[in-house]
Amino acid sequence: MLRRTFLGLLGAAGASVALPRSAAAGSKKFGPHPDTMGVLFDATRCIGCRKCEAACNEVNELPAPDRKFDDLSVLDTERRTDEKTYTVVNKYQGMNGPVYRKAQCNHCLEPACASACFVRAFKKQPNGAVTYDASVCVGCRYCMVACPFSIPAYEYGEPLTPRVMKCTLCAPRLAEGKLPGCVERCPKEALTFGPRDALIEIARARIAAFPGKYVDHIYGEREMGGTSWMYISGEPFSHIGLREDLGTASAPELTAGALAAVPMVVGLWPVLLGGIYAVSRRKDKVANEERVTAVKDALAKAAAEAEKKLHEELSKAETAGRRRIEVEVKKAVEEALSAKDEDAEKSEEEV
Amino acid sequence: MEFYTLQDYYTFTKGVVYLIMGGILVGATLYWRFLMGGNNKDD
Amino acid sequence: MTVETVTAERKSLFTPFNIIAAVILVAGLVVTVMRFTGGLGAVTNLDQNNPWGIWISFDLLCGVALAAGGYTTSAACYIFGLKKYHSGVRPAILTAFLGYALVVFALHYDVGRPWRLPYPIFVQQGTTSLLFEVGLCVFLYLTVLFVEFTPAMFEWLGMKKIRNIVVKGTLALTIMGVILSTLHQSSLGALFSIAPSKLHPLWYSPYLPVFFFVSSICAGMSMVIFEGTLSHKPMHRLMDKEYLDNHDGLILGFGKATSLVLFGYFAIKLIGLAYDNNWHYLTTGWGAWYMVEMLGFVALPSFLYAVGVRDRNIPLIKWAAGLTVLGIVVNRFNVSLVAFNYFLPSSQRYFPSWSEITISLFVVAIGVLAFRFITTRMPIFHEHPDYKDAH
Repeated sequence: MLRRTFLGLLGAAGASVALPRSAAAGSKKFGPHPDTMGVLFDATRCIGCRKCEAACNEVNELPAPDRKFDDLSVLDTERRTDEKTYTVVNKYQGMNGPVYRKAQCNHCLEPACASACFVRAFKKQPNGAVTYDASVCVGCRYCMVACPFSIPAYEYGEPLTPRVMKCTLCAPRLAEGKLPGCVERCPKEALTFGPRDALIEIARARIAAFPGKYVDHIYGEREMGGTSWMYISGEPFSHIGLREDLGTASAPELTAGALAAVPMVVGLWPVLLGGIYAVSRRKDKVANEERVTAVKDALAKAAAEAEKKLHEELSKAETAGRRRIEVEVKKAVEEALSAKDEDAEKSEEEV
Repeated sequence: MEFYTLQDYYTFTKGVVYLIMGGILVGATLYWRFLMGGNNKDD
Repeated sequence: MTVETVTAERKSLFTPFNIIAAVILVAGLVVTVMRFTGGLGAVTNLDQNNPWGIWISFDLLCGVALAAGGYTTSAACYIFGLKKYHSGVRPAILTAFLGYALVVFALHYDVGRPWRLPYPIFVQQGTTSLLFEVGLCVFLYLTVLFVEFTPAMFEWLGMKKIRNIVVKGTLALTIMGVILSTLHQSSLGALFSIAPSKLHPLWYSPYLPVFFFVSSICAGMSMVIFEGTLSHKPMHRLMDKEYLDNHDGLILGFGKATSLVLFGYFAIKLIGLAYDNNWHYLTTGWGAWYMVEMLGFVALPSFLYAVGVRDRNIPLIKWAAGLTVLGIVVNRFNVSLVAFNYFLPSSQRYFPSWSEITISLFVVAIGVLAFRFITTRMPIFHEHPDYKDAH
């Protein structure tokens, strides 16, 4: 169930076309841009103080929350990102007490939202941020359907100008040379910002240095084709709200098969349908011609039959006439003979 | 042209393919007329 | 005007049909105002986890599938050369045109900024999106259907010359219609291929586009039978001898074809099950529901169609058609709602609000009224006297 491929059944004529197996586009490979930055989240360090949430709210000028950021009872219920919150910290029950995990856009290397968007409102920037352009967004919410991490949120309360809201990796701040708001504010260094390659090195080093402390896996290194935001944890990832069944195929790979079938239909359907049309018209024509000849034949046959019948009747009549004469003659002869016999008998008797 | 994401690469190649598809539809119509428009009366 | 005539007119207006239609229209207009003043949040039960509701499942997915009668009927008549179905083409084209027009109309409620609906085609093209493919094809196909429908309009308006020009392009339009339908019917299924983690494995398949395309053929032909049955009584006086004479033949022919295509659909669904090795899900609750869909709404109608055709049992074929139409609705709802987000706790699942249902009924009511308006005026169920035997 890892690689989803779609074998196009272009089948009316029984022709089936096997489409590219994966979207690695032949032998081409597309690594992330060398400047791709990311963030490493270490679940063993997070204490669930929600300072990152507060920082995010401030730097992105989001509306004030219903309950203050220092109210930690918020953590008792699991939350997700919404139109007023780009990031949330959730509390999970670990093997040795509570574990916290921050959720926000993971800034995929091959973003599902970007692949799904029909106006290219989402873009993976060279610096790693997946940005959103509200000026072209139609508000179809397909990005929300597509996102495997259920991150993008929608302004359902806006009647005419709803936007899709999600973490920007603080792209405007990165442009000014600053850190993302949450990373800057974190008091426990649970968040590390840096080039993605370097983060993977750091994560490996930590896992190697404390083998018992971490699960030996960097979540986000390969999931859904890899993400800029990655996680290491002492708990299995599925215990801290990260799905482990996403696979490593990226969004563009998942849809590549279906998209590849589209031009095949355009190329071959006119041939197939035109062919069927031509054949059916030809058949009509042949059938028509056959009908015409059949009628002609039938007429000719009828005429011939009539002639034959007449002929037969005539000859029959002739035979019948002849036979009748024969019979008559025979009868006359017989009568004549029998008369003679009788005469003879009589004369014999008389003798 | 260099692409850093499969996404950008596909955006480009699919864009080209969509344009070709438009061309194919027009071309197929014209070619059909050419093919069927000959002088032979018996198809 | 005298008092008597006024009451007489009132009486004729207050038929049960008109009263129900009027109630739906008024309720729909009220919800429309709420939607465009309060936003989607004010009228729908959509939320951050459930971005698509019945306006997508019913109005878009079912609407497009059930409007497939347009391309199947015109292909049968003009491409496969089954001229005896000619009298069925116009009602099917009209139904398809209205269906697609209403799909686009309903989308204006669902998307956030409806005036930007042309953006993906004219402003910035997201060519990697299946939704771009759907949008482009629906836009083009709506145009094709409109052009295919215009001869009836031109005959009604007495515009002979332009009518004859359009009729000359019938073959090209039909082929174009089949291509565009193949593409967007399948792409609607492929929309969900990007979210394997959200759709239950029994409904997720790499073959989703093929499933949607093949089932749309069944949906389209069944809808032609079903819709013909519905309009037979109220529209009977408009139907000419050719339509009525060929109607049973069309039902038998389409019934036979649908039975066969449903058989094929069942077969490829089975292949899909094996391709992903999903057998073990069949013993779960989801599996039971999947079996209901496959046996009750695919295998059963296929068999009923076959029996109906063998025995020339027209009522049975009509029942099979109704069952198939219902089955397509069940399938589209399963893929887009029931099995979507299957892993979420029930408290976070979506159920439509009354306002959403109202708008869906509103859209259907507009469709029925438009169908009645057009068929009572234009030569749809009968041939225009000036153009008899013109085909």
